[in-house]
Amino acid sequence: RSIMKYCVLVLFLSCFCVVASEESSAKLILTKNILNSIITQGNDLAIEYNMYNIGDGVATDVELADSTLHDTDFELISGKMSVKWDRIQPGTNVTHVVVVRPLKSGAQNFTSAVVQYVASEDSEPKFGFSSEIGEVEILSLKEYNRLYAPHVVEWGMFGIWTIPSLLLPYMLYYNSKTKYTVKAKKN
Amino acid sequence: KGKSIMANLLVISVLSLLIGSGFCCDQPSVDSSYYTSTNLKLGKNAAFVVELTVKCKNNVQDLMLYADVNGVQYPVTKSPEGNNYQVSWTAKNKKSPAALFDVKFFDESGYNALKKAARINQDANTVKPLFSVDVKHHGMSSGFWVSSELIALAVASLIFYVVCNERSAVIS
Repeated sequence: RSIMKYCVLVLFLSCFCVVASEESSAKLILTKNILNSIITQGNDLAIEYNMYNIGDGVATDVELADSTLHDTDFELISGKMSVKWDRIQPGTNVTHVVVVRPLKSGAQNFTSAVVQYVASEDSEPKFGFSSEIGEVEILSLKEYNRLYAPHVVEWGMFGIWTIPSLLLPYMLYYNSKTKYTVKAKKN
Repeated sequence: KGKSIMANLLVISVLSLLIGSGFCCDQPSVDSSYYTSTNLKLGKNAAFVVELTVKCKNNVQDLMLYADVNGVQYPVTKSPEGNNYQVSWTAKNKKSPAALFDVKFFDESGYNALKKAARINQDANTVKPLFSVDVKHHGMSSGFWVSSELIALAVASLIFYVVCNERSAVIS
């Protein structure tokens, strides 16, 4: 059993050696997140892309593109869907934000963005995909207003409807009160 | 002979200046627009996006820019077409009150000077940015500062109080 352990250890060490002997190269990890906690039709939706260089070399000619947000479903408010960085230093991260406005409600599948970069000098460009957000329910504007709008109109209507039921008894009471006080004065 | 050396030096310095100016943006004219999140109801995370179109007088394309927002540096992204640049940052899970951000943009040499200033604990404001953009953040809010339910409750309690007063006056 101990021999097995040694074998595993040696295997691990050799792996490390292979990694170490390679020239420094960049490795980018791309995450795609939604910053909103509520996603609704017609309201801003901020999508954040975070790119980490976990390699030990500089990533050059980094191009990030997200072609999954079609303009039939989303209106672009701010930010670019396709951007590039000249280089990303090892051990650093960069952030990119795109703000869109969903045009349709219902379930929407948010899939990966694509990153392309040169990991080390004179090597072929590498491709990578971002994390996936998956299927997200986009609230319709009606549903959103029902849940989160200030309901000023509804409360106003409620106030107006309560006026008769409050005012009528008060008028009756007020009339009898004035009668009573007049009688009391005569006595 | 001294004179000729001086002349040579002058030529070299002028040449190097010319070559240097090929990478350095001269008198940039900047068109900028920005976006900041303001609706607290949609989420607590604020996103800030500044988009720029930079035109240099010496027609330099493909600038490498860095942005400095309150002492934090971000590399500026470039759009594949045109002289369009974008810098974005986020403020997560905290209240981001209304503020005026002075986003300073540096080119490569300015960025290096900024890093050097940070290394030797020099005031970062001594490094002059290439240009800067003001971003006015209106703060995140959920519309009204009092909810309509609260107003309705206040009105109802006021009516209740008045009626109770009348009632006690009648009884006594």
